[in-house]
Amino acid sequence: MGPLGVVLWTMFGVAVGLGFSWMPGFHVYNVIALLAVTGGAITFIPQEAFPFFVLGALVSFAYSSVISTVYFSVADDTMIFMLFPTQRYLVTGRGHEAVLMTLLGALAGSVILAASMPVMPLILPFLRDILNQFITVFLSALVVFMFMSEWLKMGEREENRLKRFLKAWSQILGGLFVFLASGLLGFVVLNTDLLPTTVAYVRLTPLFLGFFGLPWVLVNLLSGLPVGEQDTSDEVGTDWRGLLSGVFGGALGGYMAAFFPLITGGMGALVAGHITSQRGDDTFMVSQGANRFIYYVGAFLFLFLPAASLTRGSAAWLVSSIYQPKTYQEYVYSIGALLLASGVSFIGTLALSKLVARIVGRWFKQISLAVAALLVAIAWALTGPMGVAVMLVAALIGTTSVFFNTRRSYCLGVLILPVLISMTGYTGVAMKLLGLGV
Amino acid sequence: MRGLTHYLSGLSLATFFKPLVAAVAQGNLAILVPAVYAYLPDFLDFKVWKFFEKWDFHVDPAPQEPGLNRAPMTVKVSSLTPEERYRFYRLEGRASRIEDSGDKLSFTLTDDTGSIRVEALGRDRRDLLSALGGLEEGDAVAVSGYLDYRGEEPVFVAADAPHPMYVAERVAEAIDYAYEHGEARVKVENIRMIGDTYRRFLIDLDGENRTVRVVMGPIIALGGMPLEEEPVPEHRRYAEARTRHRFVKKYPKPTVIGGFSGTSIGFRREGDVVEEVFLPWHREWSHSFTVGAFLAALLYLALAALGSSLAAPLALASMLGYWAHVVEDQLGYMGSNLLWPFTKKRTPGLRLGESGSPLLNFSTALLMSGFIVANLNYAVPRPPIALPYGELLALVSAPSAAMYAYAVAKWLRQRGEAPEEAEEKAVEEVLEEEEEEIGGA
Repeated sequence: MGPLGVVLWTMFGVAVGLGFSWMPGFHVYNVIALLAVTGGAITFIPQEAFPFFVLGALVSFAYSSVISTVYFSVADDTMIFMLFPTQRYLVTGRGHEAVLMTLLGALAGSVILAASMPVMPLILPFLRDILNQFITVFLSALVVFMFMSEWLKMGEREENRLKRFLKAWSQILGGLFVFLASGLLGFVVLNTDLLPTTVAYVRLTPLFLGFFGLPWVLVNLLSGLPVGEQDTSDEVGTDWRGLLSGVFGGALGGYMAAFFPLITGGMGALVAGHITSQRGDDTFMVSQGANRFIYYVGAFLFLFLPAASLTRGSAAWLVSSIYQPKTYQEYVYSIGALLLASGVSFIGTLALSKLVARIVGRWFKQISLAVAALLVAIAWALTGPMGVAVMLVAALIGTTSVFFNTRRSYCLGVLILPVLISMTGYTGVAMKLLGLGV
Repeated sequence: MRGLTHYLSGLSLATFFKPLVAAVAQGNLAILVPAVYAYLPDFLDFKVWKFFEKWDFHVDPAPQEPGLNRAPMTVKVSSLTPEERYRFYRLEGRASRIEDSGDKLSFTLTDDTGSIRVEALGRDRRDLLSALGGLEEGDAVAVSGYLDYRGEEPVFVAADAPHPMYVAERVAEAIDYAYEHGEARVKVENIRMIGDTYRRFLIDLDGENRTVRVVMGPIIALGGMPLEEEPVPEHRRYAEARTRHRFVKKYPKPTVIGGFSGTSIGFRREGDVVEEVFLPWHREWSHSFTVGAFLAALLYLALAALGSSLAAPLALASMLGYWAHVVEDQLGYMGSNLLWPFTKKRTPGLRLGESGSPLLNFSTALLMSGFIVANLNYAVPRPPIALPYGELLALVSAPSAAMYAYAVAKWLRQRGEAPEEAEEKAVEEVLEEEEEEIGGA
């Protein structure tokens, strides 16, 4: 395939990504799967063009999905850490600024990713061979750290010291409950036929919508989040130091998440944020932009490395089952396609953000209601009535974290716990314990 | 250092112990214990000890409504005793004898326990009338504000914050108490309002003039972003209280109380003067080598009693992890009480950089990650990196060594900085650590 074909199919991917990813609940993986696998897109996309189509879609997703997070409070697992800062910006009429800062991070992430691709084949194979055997250790270490570093918000005003302590610790126990309940639900959904096996590729969708989307929309509706007119000027309240610090930390977290299987962008960002000692909402948003870009796109680009092909992330698995890039020419094309898609997505998302900002200030409540209905509709369409039931249970658990005043990121247990059980070889035992047969 | 840097150090030290690394292959995750130990000093402080601190003065300028966890609390008129002066409350009742001069609105509020005159001045008058939608004789009203006195007569001043004098007087009282009794600990609560917003205020200790100043600031979001542009009206923005005894202002900047939580300040008499001890519950016993050794010994005894073959390496690695935390914190400004209970005070840090310094944190984390890679490289059957162990360790240490060298060079240049500047950085360091505890979503 020549350069023109690469540009064409990449831009087609960008168009699909931009068209869907800004809408709450539409994850690019599902869109690609629906379009490519069930929608029959493969029949008219040449096999060798498919990786470039997906690359374009992923790049535009990494950009435009921030709109859903900032304006509609609907995130995926990688954006769950973003919601508090962006909501602060939204209620003060600075939603577009939050979008712009995240986009700047993503733009910087794309440059870093493109620049680092030539050296990746020199480092990654060694690291993969050394660390992959110890992935359980790293994943478990991260979970333990999440619980140990929980900030105890409650208890300071109780009448005696023991009551203060117990009240504060009810938060950690609440977090543990949310983690275990999320994990249990994830385990059941992933290991049984609760959801029809015909929808295996979108099995996580109702879980994610329930854990990371619906609770926030409901809380926004119930609490009457005061969202007013939004400022759509292209100005950001940050400086070069904040920008560079955010980009550096975000890129580090993105690489971690892209490289280590099972470590999502959110977890990578948490780790990198601590390591690079980040401060401030502006730095945080920039870092999240860079982090998500490298997590989603970087993980996929590893597929193009000729000498050290690594299959990371759902998109890479999906594509590799259809066509595996093999040549250095494809590798060079992928870097060019990445930069092109990145530039177009930046401009497209910025324009989309201005449009949404003008609407959201006026009809926030109505939009929140519509988003809640849309999430239910997506779950129903993809996974049927049982999917909606799963989503509602997930939403209930997600909302429990608000009740316990604990981190909402504990809902990541939905992925982490089943994976840990599987990696330590206890799936059979857990199935037996839960009375799920085997 | 930041929590994760400590944690990573513990994990890294554990990888130097071959039995712990080998155990991973059998599904044993004991290798995480030294990482936990390395984070333990901060965990003990922020998750345990903080809640058992004994306060001599509990300063809560805005008590919260039970169940709602936000100020103001609704009270009855009869409960407004002189001790409650300046605290932020809410009253409900019927309005009578209304007088409105355009700049000052006053009326009598009566509930089932008594009556009090209510005054609303300037902006507060406008806000109150707007909230009530106008005011007529006999109307049911709800007013927030604080108790004050006009001569002998009690007055309830309509406001959206307490008067800063409440905090100023109590902190001044605590300083005098510390002079007379040797020590005092003060807990100053924050002001949490509706919708998870906070009223920011700051406490400035002016030792030279024996004055405690308190300034009421804007309403802010949890992260500190101001949500109102109009300043607090002048008559309730600023207050100062004098102390009878001398005190030393250790931290040049005022203490700011905003979102998240209040703060704890200790006052200790040293000779003829009272000194401030910032966050007195932090970096004391928990950040000592002695407690690290003790907790590791406990671990050893427990594991040995269970017959674990990992008892010795795990206990040793855990102790080193704990000590690594103490050493890493010692690179900063505040330092720790290194040999508690044999030492009574914190030993000042080496001042190589603040604990939140990105350079120090990143270089340490990079070094520790490098050690992990180097050690695990030799734990796999055919080491992917075919370098001798010593060379590999040197290779992974080189970038961090360069960054440390830069930090040392910077330190050499700054050695002559004024003591108060160092003190300021020490307090900033500990504030950053507390901020870090706040964590993510």
